[in-house]
Amino acid sequence: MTLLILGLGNDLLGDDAVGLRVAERVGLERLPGVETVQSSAAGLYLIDLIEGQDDAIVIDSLPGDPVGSVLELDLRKFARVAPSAHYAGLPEALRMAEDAGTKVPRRVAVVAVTIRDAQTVGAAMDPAVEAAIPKAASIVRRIAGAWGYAPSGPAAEPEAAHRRSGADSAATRKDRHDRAESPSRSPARPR
Amino acid sequence: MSRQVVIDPITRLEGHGRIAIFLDDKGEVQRAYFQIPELRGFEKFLVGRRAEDAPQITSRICGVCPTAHHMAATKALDDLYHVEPTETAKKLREMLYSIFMLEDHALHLFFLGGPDFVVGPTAPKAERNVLGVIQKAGLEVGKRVIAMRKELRGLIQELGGRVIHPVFGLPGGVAKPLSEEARQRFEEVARRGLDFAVFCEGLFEEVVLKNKAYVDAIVSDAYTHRTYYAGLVDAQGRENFYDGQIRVVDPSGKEFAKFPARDYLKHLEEHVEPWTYVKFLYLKAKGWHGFTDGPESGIYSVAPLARLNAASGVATPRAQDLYRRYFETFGGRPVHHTLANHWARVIEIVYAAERFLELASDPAVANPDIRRMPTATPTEGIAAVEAPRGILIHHYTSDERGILTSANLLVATQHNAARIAMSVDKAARATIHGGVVDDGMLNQVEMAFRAYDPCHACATHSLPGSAPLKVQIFGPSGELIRTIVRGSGT
Repeated sequence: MTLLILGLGNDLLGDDAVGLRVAERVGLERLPGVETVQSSAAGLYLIDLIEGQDDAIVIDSLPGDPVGSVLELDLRKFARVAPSAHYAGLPEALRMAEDAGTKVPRRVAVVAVTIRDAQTVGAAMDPAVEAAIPKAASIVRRIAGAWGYAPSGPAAEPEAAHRRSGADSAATRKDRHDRAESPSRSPARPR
Repeated sequence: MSRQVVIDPITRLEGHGRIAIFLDDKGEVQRAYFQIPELRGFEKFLVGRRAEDAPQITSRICGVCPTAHHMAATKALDDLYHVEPTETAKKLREMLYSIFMLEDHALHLFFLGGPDFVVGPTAPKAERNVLGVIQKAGLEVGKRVIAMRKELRGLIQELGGRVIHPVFGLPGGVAKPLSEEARQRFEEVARRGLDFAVFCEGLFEEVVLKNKAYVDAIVSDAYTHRTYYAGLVDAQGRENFYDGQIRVVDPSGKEFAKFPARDYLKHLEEHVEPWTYVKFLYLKAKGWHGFTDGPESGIYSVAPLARLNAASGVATPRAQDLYRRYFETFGGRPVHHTLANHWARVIEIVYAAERFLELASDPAVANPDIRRMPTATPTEGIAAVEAPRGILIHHYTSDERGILTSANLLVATQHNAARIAMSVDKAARATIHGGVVDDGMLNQVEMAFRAYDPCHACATHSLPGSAPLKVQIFGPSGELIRTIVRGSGT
């Protein structure tokens, strides 16, 4: 069983880096079957990343208010077909890979952080977005745990530790190889 | 009553254009505009940073063609530092670049442009996708395309370190040698890549070229403009993706200019329109005369159609045969039909695959001399590559420490912007009449720009990712009468 944790975004575009930062923080890389990838790929190029995986958790930014909210989205509620393939996003990439007869993840969770600005090159991340990173990371861990990917031992990194680390990016980077929460702490996510 | 129809894909993933169509009292098209919301600021962001970081920074401009920006920046650094890369480095770079062109063109052929052609431009929307392609071409096609691209991208990753932001090019060379063991593996993949390219060629021929309706669409006036064409050519005038001079041919196919990338400012100028941020490039010697084609207009075009028009041949044997047949079919060079871009792309798939195999079979790519260290003081660097979507020029100046003092990046879509604007306008006029705008018509308008495979510096990824096309209809005084959303996101 393989899980792809895919952080999407552009690290030069302020708030848009949030998906990358969450993936960096999640710290499930050392678990068997889990691959954590940070990527700036777009459109149908996402096929290359998601193809062949059993499960996937995608972390991305979402323009909206209030800034810094963390949402769990159901990919199936996104449009399944863009008006033309040229406007493809993740739902189309998945659909196309599936249509093309290749193996796509059977479970896909999307964790989104609402952002203000993703068009300014070299911009700093909004503090509210930065502050949402620990919460988003812990949601990713919870989903992974509910799907059976977390270790069975006691939680090595309780959520409280994240809150303490706050918005300090240096501190969050250090967390990258922390262990995941115990599945016992994670309510099963209904499918 | 005049009204406005806006096709507004709000995605920042791929596509990212917007079409505004103005209708007159009778519901005929007055004018259609193609707008590109540009991501600006990269050039400013580069100033004050180390020149050697430019290949990494600029590869973040676009989530679609990072390899093209990486390579253009790397070559501009050679020029900035006045260093000639070693032969091994040049070969390795061109090999990486050929792999990239092969996999990128394949993606477009099957997933982006393919559905229009293989399934048909007016087919129901539900069928106009890769599934439709597969129904026509066989179930194994999709799997094969995905598997081949995955294998090719694996090689790019092996050479470039990371697929998305390659760490490969350095001034004077590349970062990592290729072992003989790896070369042999690359050669194996290249053989499969060539088989795959031949398969693409056969499929296009079988499904598209043998169907008179499609060929009629390609040559129809709605998708035809008689402009200038520009592309990189080697010393023999043959098409080249990685290096060469920029050759411009006039609408009758005669050479109009040939110049190194270094001289681009002498030949190209920018025109600004009030309705878009895009700077329209045109030929300085002919001048800007509005959105009009013909020999007196300075509008020119880049990308596959233009590259084949600008070149006097292709350097590999199978692609050269296809090149000859392509021009025979259309009655000579140049070809002015926008939709012929798709066929030209197939020819380039074969060329990229053949060139990849040539380079991977050359034991010299595994030589250890991958870099010549720069010793001169950096000053100014200008270079061009052919991105999948056309000529890409990077231009930098730096201080003596190599800190950038200016940057100018001319992307493919800017070269093509004027012709794309004309194509969209013409296609809208040809398809929309009496105020009736349906899905098939809008798709035919979109086809006009999809053929160019335009890329709009869309480096961000915010959800939903999929783009609703918004069609807004405005009354004479600008009031919104109706909004149609096609393929809504959330």
